[in-house]
Amino acid sequence: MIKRLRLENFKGVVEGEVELDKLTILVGPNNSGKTTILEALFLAPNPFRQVPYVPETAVHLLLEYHKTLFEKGYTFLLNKYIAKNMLIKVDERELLFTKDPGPGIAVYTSYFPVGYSSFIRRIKEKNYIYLGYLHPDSRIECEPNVLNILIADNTLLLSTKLVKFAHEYLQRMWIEILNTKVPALISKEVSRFVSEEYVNITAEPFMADSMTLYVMLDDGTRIRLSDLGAGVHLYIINRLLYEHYRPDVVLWDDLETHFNPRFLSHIVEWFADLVEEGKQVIVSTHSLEVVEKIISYVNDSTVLLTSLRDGKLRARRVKPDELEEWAKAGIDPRYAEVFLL
Amino acid sequence: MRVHPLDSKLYDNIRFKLRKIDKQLPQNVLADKVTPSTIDSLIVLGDGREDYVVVPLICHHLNGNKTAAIVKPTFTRDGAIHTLKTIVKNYKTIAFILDQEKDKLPELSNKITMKLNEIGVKCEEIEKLVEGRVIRYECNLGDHRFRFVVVVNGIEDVGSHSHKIEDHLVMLAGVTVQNDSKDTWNELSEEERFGVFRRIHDDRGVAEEVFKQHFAGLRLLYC
Repeated sequence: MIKRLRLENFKGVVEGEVELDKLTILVGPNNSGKTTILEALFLAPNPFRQVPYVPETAVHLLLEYHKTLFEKGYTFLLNKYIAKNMLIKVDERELLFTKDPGPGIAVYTSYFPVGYSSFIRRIKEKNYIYLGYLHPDSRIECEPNVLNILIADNTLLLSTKLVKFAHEYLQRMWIEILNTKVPALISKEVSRFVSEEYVNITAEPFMADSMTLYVMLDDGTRIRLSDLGAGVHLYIINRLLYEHYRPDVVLWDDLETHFNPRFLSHIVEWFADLVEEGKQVIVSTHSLEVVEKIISYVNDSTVLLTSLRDGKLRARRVKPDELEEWAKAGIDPRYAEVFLL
Repeated sequence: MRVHPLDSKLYDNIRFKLRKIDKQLPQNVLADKVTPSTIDSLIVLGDGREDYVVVPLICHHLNGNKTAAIVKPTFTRDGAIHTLKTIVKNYKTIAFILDQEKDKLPELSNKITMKLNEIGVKCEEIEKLVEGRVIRYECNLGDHRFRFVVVVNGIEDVGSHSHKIEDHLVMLAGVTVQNDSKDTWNELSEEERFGVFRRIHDDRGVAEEVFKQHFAGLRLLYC
């Protein structure tokens, strides 16, 4: 389990640290560092590892996710695009990104994996081993054996914004999912929350030679996943990704987006099951309804109220009874975070 | 002075009503972007509904560019004092606004000091203003010292059998109360009610005449 995350010069965070629990709920205003925490945790196990999206490299996925037009390069990871060094520290293991020397970004770790050798560099009186290089033209360079290194528990980032990147991956890998029970199981689960009865998920041609993913109804009709309601679509994709990739840590950004409260309860139950299995779940949300649901279902859950001011990331652990007292006093932590942190 | 609601329901209630008075008003009356260092005052509403709009409108006339946080606890009237313990420590001055209802003013004052004592607040009455409808206390909760200003809604001359914020509103509307000012106020059309709110905003002189205790009490937040 990841217990502590420290960030230095990562995206909008100049400096900050958060403590994590088996299930952590990040709550806070816009631009308070919630997504940044999740993205750092997504990179932390190894930015060069393969993830279940296209592009398949974790750091490259973040590049595509943040890109608005045709920008290249990875400087978006560095605070204000100008920081020389950036650090993601999970528990005692560090991931260091440095522009020294430029023009690209070299990536090192303070964790020395067994059986892995590369050149060692001493930075700020500490030894780091080289993992790879991020070129200004967006190319990624690393040895093949770097792909299998895990510096921290393996994480999977789930978000509405990543759905399009998941589709291509799932279609490519469908042969590995096809004959498992997973598609039928997910279809059955989702059927509880929609009027139709789904029996399976398939990958088949749509027009000409283009392939796509469908849910299959009990009468054999197929509906493209992308034509389903946004919540159903998102849940199916995220569950397929999880079941295929089986990460140690699930990171879900903006959990409340697209879900009816009943469906949300189902997702929270799933989180409770994951925690029971020994997995870790970290979610961000703007919804107090989500917070209340999670803390009522999952005993080992922690609410972290986040704020980001002048680059300093702060997080306050909020106890469930504190939330209750605040509610009685007419205080909503999302409106009052400046007084509570 | 602008207000910064600490709860979404209160925020929406204030914003929605202000917008009906004037579309630009929410931006001028509500403070969305605040830092802890800019706010050391809190307004606690013991009663709701019309107070949601009247109090922010009066605040808008006072204390220049200052901002006060505002809350409406789930418990009403003096019951709201119980929840103060949670938040008192963040503020140097707290204004507590409640309806008089059928209480005599000295009884109400006793009730409030008792409730404050129950949550561990030691308080000393410093002064009474506007015929006892504004009471200023200097208080301590542990080592935290703060000013506590009680503002009691109601006008004796309005012939309502229970005194509340609606006494002021019907007076401003120029209508006679038969029995209860709240009933009289509710009998007015929405247009007439918003006409009264608009007057509070547009005519400070008239507003200050009718909401004497509110102006006197809320002024104390920043002096």
